[in-house]
Amino acid sequence: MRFSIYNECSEVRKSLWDYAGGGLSDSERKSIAAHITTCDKCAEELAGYSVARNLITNYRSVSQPESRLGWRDLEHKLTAQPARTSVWSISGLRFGLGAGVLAATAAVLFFTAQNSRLPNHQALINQGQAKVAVPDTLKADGVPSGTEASDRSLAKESDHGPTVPGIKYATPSYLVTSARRSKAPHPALAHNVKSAPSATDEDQDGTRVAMNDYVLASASNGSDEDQSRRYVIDLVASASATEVAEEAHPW
Amino acid sequence: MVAAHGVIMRVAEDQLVARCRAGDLDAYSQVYDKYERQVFRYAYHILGHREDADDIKQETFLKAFQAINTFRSESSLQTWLLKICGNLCRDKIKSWDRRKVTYDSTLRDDELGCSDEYDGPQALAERKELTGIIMKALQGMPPAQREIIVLHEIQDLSYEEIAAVLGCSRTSIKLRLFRARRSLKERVASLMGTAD
Repeated sequence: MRFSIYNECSEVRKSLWDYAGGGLSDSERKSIAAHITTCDKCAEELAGYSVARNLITNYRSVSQPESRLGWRDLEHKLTAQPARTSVWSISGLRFGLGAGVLAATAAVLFFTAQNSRLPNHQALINQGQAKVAVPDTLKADGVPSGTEASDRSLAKESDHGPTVPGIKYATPSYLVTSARRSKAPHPALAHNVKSAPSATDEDQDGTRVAMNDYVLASASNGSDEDQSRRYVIDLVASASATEVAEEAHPW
Repeated sequence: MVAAHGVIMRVAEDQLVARCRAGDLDAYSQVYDKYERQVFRYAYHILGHREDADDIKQETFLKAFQAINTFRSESSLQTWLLKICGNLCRDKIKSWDRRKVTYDSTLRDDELGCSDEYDGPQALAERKELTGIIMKALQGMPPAQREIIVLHEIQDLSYEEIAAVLGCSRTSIKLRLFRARRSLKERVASLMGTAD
């Protein structure tokens, strides 16, 4: 082995461990021996490697620590463990269960979202029938329809369900603005223009009463189309009534 | 002649592995008898704790039996077992780092694997001193360097075998071994009071 003059020491040191153990070829040994005679640093390194190597060699030759646990201990563990199951069958079962749970959750979420987004048709019908019953009840109690008290009661119940005395209920803005912008009948009323009364500036109360009468008349028919139409008309009527109530009592 | 012997050994090992795959515990006991000492000493020198090394050895053979179907005979059974053992030792050292447990180089007489009935008290004392220096020198080394010293200098594995155990190239192993030897030399010199 020939070492270059610039990195001779680093090249020699890479082989000192083997040199100390009596390894390497004759030519390599001669080259290293020649270098060590001229380089004290590398000679010192060789002494250190020799000591470490002798220690390791002696250590390897002596008996080393033995384990205390034997085959019987391991055999006990091997026989005690449950029978091995195929990885595929376990993962397949887990995947199937996971997919089933996921699908069920997705279905529940989907139907929940659908129910919360769409109005309950039956509930709307019931709500419409409840509103229709109000004027009759008021009439029966001797409160004439078309008065301020009955207007407020109608507006509250139509928009918010059961009312609490002393609390002012807000009307949906789109209904209020729609009613204010055009004093003309709501398009839903125009659809059934023959039977639906028209609203005028002079007679708001009269319009509402007339519409309620119309609703009562429609309810008696009991058809689905009429029931849906009745709900829309009732909303418009509620808006008109609230507007009148607010103008009369601006608190 | 040597190559033919190696082939015969390899065939015998393949047959043994095939029987182990079929769940033959007698075949696995032969594997255990052949390699358990090597696995234990590897774990012992890496960890420095006899009890932990015992546990790691048993866990190595337990895991190896459970995963014997994944053994593809690309490496030898010996390097495969040592690889499992090395991974378990590294996990153990990580758990020590969390629990602030360190390499234990203090040795009891019963950990030396010899008794004064055969060697006499003086030989036992010398052996204890020698083993103590080696263990202390290993203690002061980084675990990665300690691993490579144990595999090459104590377990006598070749570069190729070490590369298979540690998952490195042969060139990388040579470089790492050079650094580990230099570190060991400095540690030994420091322990024996010959340092500059």
